[in-house]
Amino acid sequence: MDYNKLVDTALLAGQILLESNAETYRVEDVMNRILDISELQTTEAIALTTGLFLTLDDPSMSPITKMKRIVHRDTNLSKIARVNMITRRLTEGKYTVEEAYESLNAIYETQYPLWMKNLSVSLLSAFFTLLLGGGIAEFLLAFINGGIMIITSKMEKRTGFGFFTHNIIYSCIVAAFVTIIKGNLLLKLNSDITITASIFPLVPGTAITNAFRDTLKGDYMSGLAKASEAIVIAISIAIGVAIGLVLAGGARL
Amino acid sequence: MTIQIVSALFAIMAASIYLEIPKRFIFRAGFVGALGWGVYLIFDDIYGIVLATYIAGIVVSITSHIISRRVKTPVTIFFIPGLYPLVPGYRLYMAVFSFMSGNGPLATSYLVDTIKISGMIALAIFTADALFHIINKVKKIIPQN
Repeated sequence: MDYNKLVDTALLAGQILLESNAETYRVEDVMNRILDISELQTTEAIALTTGLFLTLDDPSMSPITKMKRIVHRDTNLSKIARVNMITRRLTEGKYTVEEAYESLNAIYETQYPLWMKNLSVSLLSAFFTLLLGGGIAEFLLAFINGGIMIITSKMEKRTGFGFFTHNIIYSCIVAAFVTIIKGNLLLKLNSDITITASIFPLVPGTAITNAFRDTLKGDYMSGLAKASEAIVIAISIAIGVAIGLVLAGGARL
Repeated sequence: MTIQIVSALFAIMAASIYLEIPKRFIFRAGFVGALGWGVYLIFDDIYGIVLATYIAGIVVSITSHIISRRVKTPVTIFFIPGLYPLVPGYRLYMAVFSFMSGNGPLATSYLVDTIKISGMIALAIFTADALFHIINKVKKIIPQN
């Protein structure tokens, strides 16, 4: 068996999972299951939120150790499902290591066209107003705010100023925009619901859920990393909303 | 309330596209989210937000575990969108808003609510995970006897 290829496959699977925001225990479990195919004496895999390490060793050979730094993370649940399926086929013997490596490499970046993803952001915000008990005015305004988010996130990708600044800019614009509309045009508008629903695509739901699951499984390093991610995102939204409210005259410092 | 539950279904389906869920699971994820939100709304009137979040969280977690076992896919796929409506975004915003409008005590009470709700989501996830862990263990032991 080509052990180098096996280690590469396990590393690639782990990398895709970590970059898609999978839980840490799942990443380690998948890498360990792939490494166990070698039936060597020592197989170890460690995944932290910001990097992963794995090693393969036996008295008959010199050890193979590889590591990978993970910089960029973006929630993509379909990638997690695909890696899970490929790993299951590999461990059941339906795929060879080469086939598994090829199909891991061929996992496509996105399965929805861009307009659909953009529309989903607007619809997510819009329907959240109804979910929180809003009416038609809140629905329409949140839908427009979703459009603003598409523009700001496009700006973020082009200039690369990072998620923290993006969150501040977007929530600042939304808070100011909604407060001004309420003050000048629609006095009956429930601005609390509208602003909350508009910032919902930014709210760290994935980070909170995974932070708890990792911590309760005993992965304290990853749990803390995800928890700090959630706190940092929450702070950035709070700063943005606060600036927006002050700018629009809806609050005082 | 019907409007809120139906809009929860659509909101979670939109969130599923945003989070890149496999196409064939979009409706199921929306169903889990709407179910959770419906349970939350019912128990909100009786027990208040904190306990309602816990009960809704347990319903979401258990439904996600059952569905993911049936279709053989990681449980995260239904978990993350399903718990989306329960995440205390509204309380967090109100805490900032009250603080900025100079109402300190109200801001503190909203912040405490945010922390309580987050803790309840964690507890709900833990309860469901532990429950299914035990069920798995029991299933493994029984055939051997």
